[in-house]
Amino acid sequence: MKGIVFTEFLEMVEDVFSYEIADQIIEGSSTATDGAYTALGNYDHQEMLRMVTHLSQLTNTPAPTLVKAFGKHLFSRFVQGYPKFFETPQSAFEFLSGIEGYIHVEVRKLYQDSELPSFSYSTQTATELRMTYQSKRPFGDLAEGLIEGCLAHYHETATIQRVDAFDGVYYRSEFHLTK
Amino acid sequence: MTDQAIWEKRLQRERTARKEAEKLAEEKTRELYYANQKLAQLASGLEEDVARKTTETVQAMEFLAAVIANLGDGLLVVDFDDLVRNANRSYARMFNLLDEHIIGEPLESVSTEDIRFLVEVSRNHPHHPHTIDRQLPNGRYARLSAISLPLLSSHSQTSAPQLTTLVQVYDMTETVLANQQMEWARDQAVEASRMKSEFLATMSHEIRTPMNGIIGMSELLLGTELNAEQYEFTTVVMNEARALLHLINEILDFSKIEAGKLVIESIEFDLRDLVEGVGEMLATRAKSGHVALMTHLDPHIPTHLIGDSGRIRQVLVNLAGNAIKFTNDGEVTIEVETVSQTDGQTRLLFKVTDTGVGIAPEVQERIFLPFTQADGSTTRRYGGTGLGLTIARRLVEAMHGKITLESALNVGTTFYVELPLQVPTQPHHLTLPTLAGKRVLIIDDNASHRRILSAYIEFVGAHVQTVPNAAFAFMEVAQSQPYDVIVVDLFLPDLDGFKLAELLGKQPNTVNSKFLLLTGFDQVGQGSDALERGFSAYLIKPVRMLKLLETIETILHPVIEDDLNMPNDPQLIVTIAHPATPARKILVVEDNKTNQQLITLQLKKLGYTYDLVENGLEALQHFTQFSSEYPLILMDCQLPFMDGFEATRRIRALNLPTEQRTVIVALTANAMASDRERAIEAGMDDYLTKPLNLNRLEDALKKWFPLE
Repeated sequence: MKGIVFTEFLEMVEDVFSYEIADQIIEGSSTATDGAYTALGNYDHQEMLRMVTHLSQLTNTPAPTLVKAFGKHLFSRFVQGYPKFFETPQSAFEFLSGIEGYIHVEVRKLYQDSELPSFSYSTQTATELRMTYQSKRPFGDLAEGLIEGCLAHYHETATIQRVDAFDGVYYRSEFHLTK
Repeated sequence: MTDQAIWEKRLQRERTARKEAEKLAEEKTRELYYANQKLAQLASGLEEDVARKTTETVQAMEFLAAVIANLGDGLLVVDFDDLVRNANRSYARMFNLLDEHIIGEPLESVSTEDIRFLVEVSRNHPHHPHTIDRQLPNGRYARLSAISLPLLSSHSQTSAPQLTTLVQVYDMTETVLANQQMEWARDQAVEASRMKSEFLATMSHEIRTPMNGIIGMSELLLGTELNAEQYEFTTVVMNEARALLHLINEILDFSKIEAGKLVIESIEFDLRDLVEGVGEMLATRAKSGHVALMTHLDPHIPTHLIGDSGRIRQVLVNLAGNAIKFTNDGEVTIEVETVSQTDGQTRLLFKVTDTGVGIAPEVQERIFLPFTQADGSTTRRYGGTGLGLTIARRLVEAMHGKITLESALNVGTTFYVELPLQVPTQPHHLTLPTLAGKRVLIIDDNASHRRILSAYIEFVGAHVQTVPNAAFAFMEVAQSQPYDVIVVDLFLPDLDGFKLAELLGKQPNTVNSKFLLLTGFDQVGQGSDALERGFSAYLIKPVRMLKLLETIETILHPVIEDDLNMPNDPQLIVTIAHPATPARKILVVEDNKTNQQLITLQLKKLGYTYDLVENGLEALQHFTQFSSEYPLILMDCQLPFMDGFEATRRIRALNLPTEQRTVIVALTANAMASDRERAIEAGMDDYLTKPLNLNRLEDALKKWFPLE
């Protein structure tokens, strides 16, 4: 998993909760670099899961809620960090539709070693979008948070229905967005 | 843990992250450096590629430009906006332009009106070439061709294809000059041909005039007191002169046909009279006693038909004449039957059959070619030009018919002529006597003759029996019912006709039989004997159908028996002069001394009186004064001072009363058809070509002075 997810996560924990909480979840979770993450690096996603589990216990908040909230936050950070990607798409659906075909293609140019989830699309109209998240790692919640962040960025609202599945290798989450 | 310890730990964590980040950043930098290097290499490769491709393209374009520039044909490429995109040297040369001043110029300044017109037309119909032929400003002849195609323009504002026009100019000068030369050569040839025709016409005239003298004078000489030797020599002179004239006529005819001047007429004529007339005429040529000449027309054929009787006669005379010439012993038959008949048209088959020497198969193929005869010795043995059959075939083909032949060596030859002829809308019905119930016996050794005679007689209802000799005749007469008519040929293998008739006449069965004798033309003298020796009448072979049937009817119902004593065919008895009414006076207009002498002698012999003048002017003066005295003028056409045509026009211009209208008959040595037209146009009534023999002159005059 890309280092930016870890650095952004820890920064959010520091901002929302406290440096102490951040220290605690680093101390309480076994990490290869002792919590010294850089945005450029790649790290084991298990470390993230451990830190989230720890934060959930410390704050007495369900882990999915935390991950979704982080996803929403991460999206706003992407907007700040990579404004070029947001110049062309004029709506949330337009942006979401271009993740697989455009954004992930660009990411792979810069980081050949990155392991990205894939998105596939079925229904795509002005008021309806069906997109399926697929990954070897269980981050459907992060994806949902990112989708919410996207809607918020475009000041749009839509109901999000989600169906999860796991076939032993891949985690899948089908999102059905309707306006 | 103290605050300091906590912060140190946090610092340691950040320091580790920074170092890690720096390490990664350096790695990225290195990656970028190598990536840049690789990019630079790729870029330089691309540049090389581009440079190479550019060079290739430039070379290809230079090559193409060189080809276009050096094309022999002119080429001009015009863009949709009338600016010249390209042009080559040939184009510049053809239109007297400097080639560097063409490209980029407006079309108007570097083209002719023809080219601009062509460009405009081709733009209206893209993809199709348009062509015109013109003479160029430099005097050369050219074919201009333009085609408009939608192509990308070199300077169009849009990327859409626009109509570009390719104008090509082909130099056609050599072809045009060659054509002009061919036309000139053709004109020369046509002129030469015309000169030849004129020469032929002149020659025809020049030869016929002296021939006229020779034949006419020989003929008159034969009518004078001559000893046997003189008579024979004179006959030879006359016959040779006739042969020469025939030869000249054939050559002239052939020339006329070759020159495409043959005109086929469509005039109503009597076919039976024509065919039987040809038979009679040729009978005099058939070798006495050795070759029997017969004619036979299917009685169902309409008597009157429409066609060119003169040409049909010419063909038949030619074929039958040949047949007689090549038959030493046996018979020649001219037969006519119907092939098919539809409303208004009938197809007839003329068959001319001989029992002569025959024609070898390899010769049959080329017998209709000019100057072909069966073999080289033919000319020596039989004479002739070898043009006769060629002329016959051309005439038959001109009448839309066809001519073929069948022949076996030493057996004989049959020529078949199939001809389509019109049937007149108002047909003439032949009124034939009826012999229904009558019994006729024919005694003749010639099988064909028996067949023909019985066909004619049976056609009108009589019962006919034929026998080939006297012996059978006796048997037949003795055994059968009595015959009403017994037809006897003069020459029979076992008994002569006179003797047979005498013996048969003594039979009880022949008490009421009438005897009819058949003789050849050369036995005319026997005819009068026949009447004294028990025959009711005699007929000269070849026998005409109508004559035969009428004679049989007459002898069965004798009213004026004396009429039958007259010779049957005045045509055959040429030397008998007919006295004409003295009041019939003829004005003769002739300048040639020999001809004057000849025609006046002929007129005297025929019993006409005449006056003679020597040219058209004299004729006009004399006639104006004594017009009422001359019912007929014989007018030579080529005359000094005023020719015969002009004299005729002037005489007609006198406008004499209708009842006094004088007949004017042209008399000329010129046998060309155009002269005949000129004569009729000038107001003449008839036309006679020299040399004139006594018969033709007599016939012609009888036409205008019917016997009273």
